[in-house]
Amino acid sequence: MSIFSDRTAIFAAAFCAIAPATPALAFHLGLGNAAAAAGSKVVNNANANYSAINGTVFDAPPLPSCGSNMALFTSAPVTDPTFVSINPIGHVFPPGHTFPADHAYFGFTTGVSPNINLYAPGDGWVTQVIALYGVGNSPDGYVINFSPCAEVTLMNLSVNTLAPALLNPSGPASTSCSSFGENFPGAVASCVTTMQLPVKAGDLLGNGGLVDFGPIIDTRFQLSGFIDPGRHDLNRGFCPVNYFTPSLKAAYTAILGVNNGTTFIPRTTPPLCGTIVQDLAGTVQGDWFFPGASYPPDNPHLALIHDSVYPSTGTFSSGTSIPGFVGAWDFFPKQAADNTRIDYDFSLVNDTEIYCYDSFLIAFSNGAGVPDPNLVGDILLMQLSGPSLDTLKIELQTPGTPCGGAGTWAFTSNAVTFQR
Amino acid sequence: MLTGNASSDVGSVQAFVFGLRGYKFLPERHSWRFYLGAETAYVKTSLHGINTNGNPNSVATVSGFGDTSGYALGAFGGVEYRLLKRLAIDFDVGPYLIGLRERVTGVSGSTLDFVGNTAINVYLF
Repeated sequence: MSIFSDRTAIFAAAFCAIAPATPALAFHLGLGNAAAAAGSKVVNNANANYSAINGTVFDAPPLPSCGSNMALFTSAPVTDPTFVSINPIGHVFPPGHTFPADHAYFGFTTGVSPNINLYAPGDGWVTQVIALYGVGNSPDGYVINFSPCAEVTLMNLSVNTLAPALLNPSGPASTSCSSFGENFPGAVASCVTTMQLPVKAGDLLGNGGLVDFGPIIDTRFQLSGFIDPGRHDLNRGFCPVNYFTPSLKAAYTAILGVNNGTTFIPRTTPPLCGTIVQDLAGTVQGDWFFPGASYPPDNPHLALIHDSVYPSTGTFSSGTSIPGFVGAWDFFPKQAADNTRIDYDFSLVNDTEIYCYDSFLIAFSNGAGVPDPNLVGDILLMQLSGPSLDTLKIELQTPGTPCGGAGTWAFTSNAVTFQR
Repeated sequence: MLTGNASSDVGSVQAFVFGLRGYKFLPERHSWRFYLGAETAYVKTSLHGINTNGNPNSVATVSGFGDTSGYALGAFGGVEYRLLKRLAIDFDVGPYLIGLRERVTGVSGSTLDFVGNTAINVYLF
C-alpha cells in the first residue's frame, strides 16, 4: 500500500510483496523477489567456484563428490618391505586413547619407520598439513590430511619430513600457528596449513615417522550402535582398508593384526578391521562417560571392551577418573555366568548386582601379558543402576586378596560414577 | 521496505530492499492516469535453510556465506485507476539493474530484469 500526499510525489517505498520465486532473466513481480533472484545467482556462482576446508575459503571449485565409489585408494601408501601389518581400529592406550581408537596403525617389523616413504594412496588433494613443534624452532614432524574426493578424508598421516611439494604448496593455502600441540605427544606448538593441493596416486608425501593409518572421515555414512549417538562423531572411524581397490584391499585385509617383530598375529574375528563401536545396551560393555566432562578428549572416561586383535579378551581401558586405576589391563573373561559374578565378560553384566574383577593382565599390543604386579591383591567392583542400566558405579579396592564371595563386596566413598 | 524470496543451490535466499521512488504523473482521464518514474534502492540478501548436499568442502559451510548487499536501479512506467476519491490501484513495470556482492567470497554480479509492482494507494490530502 502507498500513501500519496500529492499528485506528483516523491516518497519512501513502503510496501511488501511476497511471491514464489521466478526464473532468472524473467519478469519478477515485486522488486523484493527480483533482488532475491539476483542474490540467488550470486550465491550459486560463489558456491560453484569457491570451496572451504576447515573454514578457510579457497578460490577453487569444491572437491568432486565421491558418489558411491569406495575404491578411492588405488596405490600403496607404503611400499617398504618392513611394512607387514595393519593394527585394526579399536586399539586403546589410555588416557589419550581411552575409548577404542578411531584409526588403524602401520605395523613395521622394525617397530618404527625412520626412513620409510609415505605416498599418496590415490589421486586427490592434500587438504591440510600440521607442523608439530617440540622444543626448538624446527618442526619435529608433520601430520597430513588427504582427500580423494569431497566426502572422504584420510587423516593424521604422520611423517618426520615433508615432501617439498607439500612444504611449499602451489596454489591457495592458509597457515595458522598456535601454542597448541594438537594433542600429539611431545608437541607444544603447531602450525596448521590448510590447502587444496592436487596430488596423484603414488606421489611422495613425506618420509619417516609413520604411525597412524587414519582415521577415515566419510560423510556419506554414519556409524551405528552407540547407545548415545549424540556423544560421538558418527562420520569418523571407518576402516581405511575398505577404501582400497580390490587387490590392495585383499592384500591389506590379510595383514590386519599385529606383529611382535618376528611373528604376525592376525585378527580372525569379524570385523577383521576392528571397530570402535562396542556398546551393548543393558550391559556394562562399551563406552562410559565421566559426568560433566567433555568429549573429546578421552582422558576422563572409561571403556569396558574387548581387545582389538583378540576380541575374546576383555580390556579395562580407564582414563584419569578412577583413583589408582589409570591405564589398560586385559583379562580372560568367563563366557557364561556361574553365579559367582567374578570376572564375567562385560556382556554378562546385565543387572543391578555388584560384580567383581581380580585379574589384571598387562595389556600389550600383541596380546595380554602377565599379571600386573602393581595390582595383585586388588579388586574392581562395578554395579549398574538406573531404569535402562545407564549409570555405572565402579571402584578399585585393595583388600590384598581376590574377590572372594559376593557378601563381602561393598562400595566406599571412593567409588566413581559414570554414565552412558 | 520490500522483501522477497528465491531458492539457490544451497538454500533459500531472502531479500530486503530499502528504496526511494520518484513519480511524474500525466493528466487523469476517466479515472485513469499514466505515470513514469525511477527508483533507487539498497539491497541486502541472506541465506536460510543452508543445505550443502553433504559436501563438507562446500563454501556454504562457512559462517556468513550467502550474505550479499548491493543496489537496485530502475525506471518504470505504469497506470493508476482511481476507485474512489481517495483510493486507487496501480501497476507499473520497468527494467531494473540489480548489483550484489557476496560477503565471504567477494563474488559479485549484476542482473538486468523486468520488474512489475502493484500497489493500493490511499490519498490522505
